[in-house]
Amino acid sequence: MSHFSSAMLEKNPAWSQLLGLCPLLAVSTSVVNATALALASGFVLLGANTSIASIRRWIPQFARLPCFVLVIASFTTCAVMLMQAFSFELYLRVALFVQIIVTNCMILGRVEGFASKQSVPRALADAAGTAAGFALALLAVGATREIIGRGTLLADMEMLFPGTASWELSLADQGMLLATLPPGAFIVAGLLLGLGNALRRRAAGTASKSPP
Amino acid sequence: MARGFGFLAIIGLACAGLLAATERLTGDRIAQNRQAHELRQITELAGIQPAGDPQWANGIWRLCNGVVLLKTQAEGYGGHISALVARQGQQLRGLRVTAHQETPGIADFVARPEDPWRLQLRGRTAAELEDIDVITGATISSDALLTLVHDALSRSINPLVCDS
Repeated sequence: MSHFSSAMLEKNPAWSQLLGLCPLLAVSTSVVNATALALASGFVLLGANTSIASIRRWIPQFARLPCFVLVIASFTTCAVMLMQAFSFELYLRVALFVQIIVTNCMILGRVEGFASKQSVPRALADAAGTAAGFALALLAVGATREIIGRGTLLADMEMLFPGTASWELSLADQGMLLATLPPGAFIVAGLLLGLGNALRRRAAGTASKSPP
Repeated sequence: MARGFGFLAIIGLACAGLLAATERLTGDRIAQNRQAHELRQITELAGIQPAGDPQWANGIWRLCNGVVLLKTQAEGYGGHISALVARQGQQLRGLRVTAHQETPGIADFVARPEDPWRLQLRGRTAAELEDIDVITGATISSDALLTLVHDALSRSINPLVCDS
């Protein structure tokens, strides 16, 4: 359990390791897009981490990176096919960023740094924590940008979960376009990163320490 | 060393097995979704839900509400751009790009029907397309769209016959 919470909060992939920022910034224009990418990344993380951990004894040292990339690429392709099968319209919106999960250093980092050296249950907990941490970051940025940029929350959720069209909240008729554009992604993600750091520093009670 | 390569081959086989299994599981659904997506695009373009299966003949499908759908292609910046063009008489009614490899972020308008530059093409005839300026920084991509619309609008079609 401690592996889960440490991977999710203290070592949050986006906020403290600053990994996976490309998909985080690009896809987080709305909650539904963010959820889709969080699910796909989580699927790949869980699959890659557990399968690498279970075969770690036999992976030859000199060929470990090809092994990792092969496994990650296979799980990513599975995620792509599953999304096309169950949520085709949403897949068309986030296709590119689901495909480039292969090159997400967050996943390769967890596999190389943790799963290839640890037991399967620990790798599973670590993957679940990392996935939850990434989902947290994606949803935070996605929700903020959707509220500011479009004045809605949870719009189009039925593309992912049928029967949830009523979840949509309409807060304003129009939003501030900047938040949905790429500069808005940097501004919102930067502010949330600062907020996260401030909270963490307050929790640690060391307000004088320099930033990580 | 040799054992290492052997193990790499085993992993490769296992991954191939995983992919084949997923493909088996999802292949049919994906094909159905693709078809449904195309039908939705056609319904949007034509303004009516076509009765029965698509009736393409040489990439042309004359619907009985006077809308003619054409499959067209042009050479873009990153490769072929394939599109469905809907025309009403001599005028452009709608345009949906079905496949392209243009640069993301620069030529996003290719995949976005409600793009302002795209909206001004609506209702124009082939001759009236001459007044449209291409997009700075995406000259080849926007020119390709103009070319394929122009091609579709200048093809001669007997409007009195319809396929479905």
